[in-house]
Amino acid sequence: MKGIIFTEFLEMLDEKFDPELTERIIEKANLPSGGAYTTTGTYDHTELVALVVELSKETEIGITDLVRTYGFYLFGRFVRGYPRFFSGIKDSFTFIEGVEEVVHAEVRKLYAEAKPPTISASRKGDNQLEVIYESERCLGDAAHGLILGCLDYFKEEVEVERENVDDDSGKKVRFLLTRAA
Amino acid sequence: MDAEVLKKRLAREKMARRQAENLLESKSRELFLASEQAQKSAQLVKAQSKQLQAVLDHAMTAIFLVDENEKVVRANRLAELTFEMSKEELLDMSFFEIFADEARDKAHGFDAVAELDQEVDTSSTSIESVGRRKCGSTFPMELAITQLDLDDKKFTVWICRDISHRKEAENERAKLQLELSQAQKLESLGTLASGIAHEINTPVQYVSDNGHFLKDAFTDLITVLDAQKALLEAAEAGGVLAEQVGAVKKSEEEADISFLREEVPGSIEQTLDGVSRISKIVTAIKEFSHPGTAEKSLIDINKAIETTLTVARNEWKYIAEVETDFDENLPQVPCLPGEFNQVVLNMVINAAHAIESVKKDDLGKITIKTLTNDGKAEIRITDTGCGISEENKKQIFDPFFTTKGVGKGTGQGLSIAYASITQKHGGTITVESTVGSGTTFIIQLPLSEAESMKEAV
Repeated sequence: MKGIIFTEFLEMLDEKFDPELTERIIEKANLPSGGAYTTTGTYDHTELVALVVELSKETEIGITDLVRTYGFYLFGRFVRGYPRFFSGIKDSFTFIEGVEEVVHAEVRKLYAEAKPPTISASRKGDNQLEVIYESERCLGDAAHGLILGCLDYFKEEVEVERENVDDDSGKKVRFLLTRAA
Repeated sequence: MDAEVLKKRLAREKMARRQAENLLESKSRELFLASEQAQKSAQLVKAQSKQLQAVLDHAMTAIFLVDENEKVVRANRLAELTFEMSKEELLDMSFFEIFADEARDKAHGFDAVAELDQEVDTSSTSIESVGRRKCGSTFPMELAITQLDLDDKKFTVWICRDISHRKEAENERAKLQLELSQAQKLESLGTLASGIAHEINTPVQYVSDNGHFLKDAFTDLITVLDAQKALLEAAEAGGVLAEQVGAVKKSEEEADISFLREEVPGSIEQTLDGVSRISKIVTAIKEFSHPGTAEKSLIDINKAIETTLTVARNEWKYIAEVETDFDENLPQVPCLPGEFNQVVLNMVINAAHAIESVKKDDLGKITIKTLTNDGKAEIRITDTGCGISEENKKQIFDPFFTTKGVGKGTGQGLSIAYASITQKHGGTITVESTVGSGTTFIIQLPLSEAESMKEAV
């Protein structure tokens, strides 16, 4: 998993909680990397899981909520860090439809070893978009948070229905986005 | 943030910086290697491109790579030579300008068909079309068209071969086949004529024999009739056997004996003359259609010409009178008899046609003269026909050249005569002509072989 996911997670901890808590959970998680991340490096995604687990223990907030919150936060960081991906995009559906072919394609250009999740989006009508997330890292909750962050950014009133596909692991999740009429 | 937290954070940041530096080094190395690989690949591509161009330039056909906008993106050296244009000119024009005006629409059609169906590939079958050089001259060419998809763009490979030489060879072959077929036809006609002549000869012979028999018999019969007449006159004068004398005289009157005495000898004479002419014609046909031999033999060309004139009589008798002026001392000439007869026949028929084309009321004249000239036998065939223009003189011996109307000439007679006299007999055939006055064809045949042939016999 790319280092930006870790650096942004630690940034969120500093911002939403405090630096002491950040350092504490890093220490408790006993990470192979020692918690030293660069945005361009590649790290084992289980380190993120270990950090979330420790954060959940510290804050007594559910893992699902924490990961979804992180997804929401991460989208805001993407908007600030990569404004070119949003240039000329007027609505959330259009942006989500371009994630696989624009954003992930760009990631693969920079990092040949990167394995971003598969995001397939298809319109089910003028006001409905079906989005299917699939990844071995089982971060369906993060995808959920990212979708919510996207809707917030475009300031759209959209109902999000979530359905785990195959099992509840979060490996494959179907989201049905319906715009308010 | 207390000092302890800051220390931990500083330690992590240092570690992260080292990671970043290592990553930068590693990426720099990867970039260098990738750049090196890219350079090698570029060199390889350049070398392959050169190789490809060399192969294309040495191909024996013009090859074009054409894009969807009909622009030539690549052309080989033979394309430059074939269409007489520089590479720059070829790359600057619309591809279809290489076609002659009348072939361009059809060529667009080949392209359209190829576009409709990706499977269309004419590389194994060829299409004939007409190309146009820069100077405007056109030539037949053979096309093979293949569609290519390169980097999501459609290209067409056009292979164009100039087939001018092949077409000429094909035409030549067709002409030769026609000549051969004509020769075979004449040969079979000759064989047939020879057979018919043989069949006619037998009845002609006994008609002739019986005619001579009747002639002699009638002469004897006249003697008997003369004696009978004297007897009747004596009986009448003596006044005896009046009744019998009357009956004989009556039967003589009924039979019109005096008329028969006058007319029968002439009638028999005419019959014998006719039979004699039939016999002469039959003999001429047999001689004329004598199977051709591959080797020359010594022949009396005066006699050969006489024979041919007899055979061809129907061709000239209503158009011209024929006069012969033969050198009686002309030695025998080494000839292929069948071919020589054919040459003379063609000349006589041509002379008759030339006279006929003038359309005069009275008969024209064909004169055939033989002589010895500078160690050669010379045959001069002169007609009082239309003559040959200077322009046509250059072409009269070309195959299929004719000025005669449809159905009158195939344009092969003089061509065959020329080939036979010059190539097979080692002689010459020339023409002297004045438009409106007439023409003389002069055939000269070498006599040099004659002596050795005589000795061999």
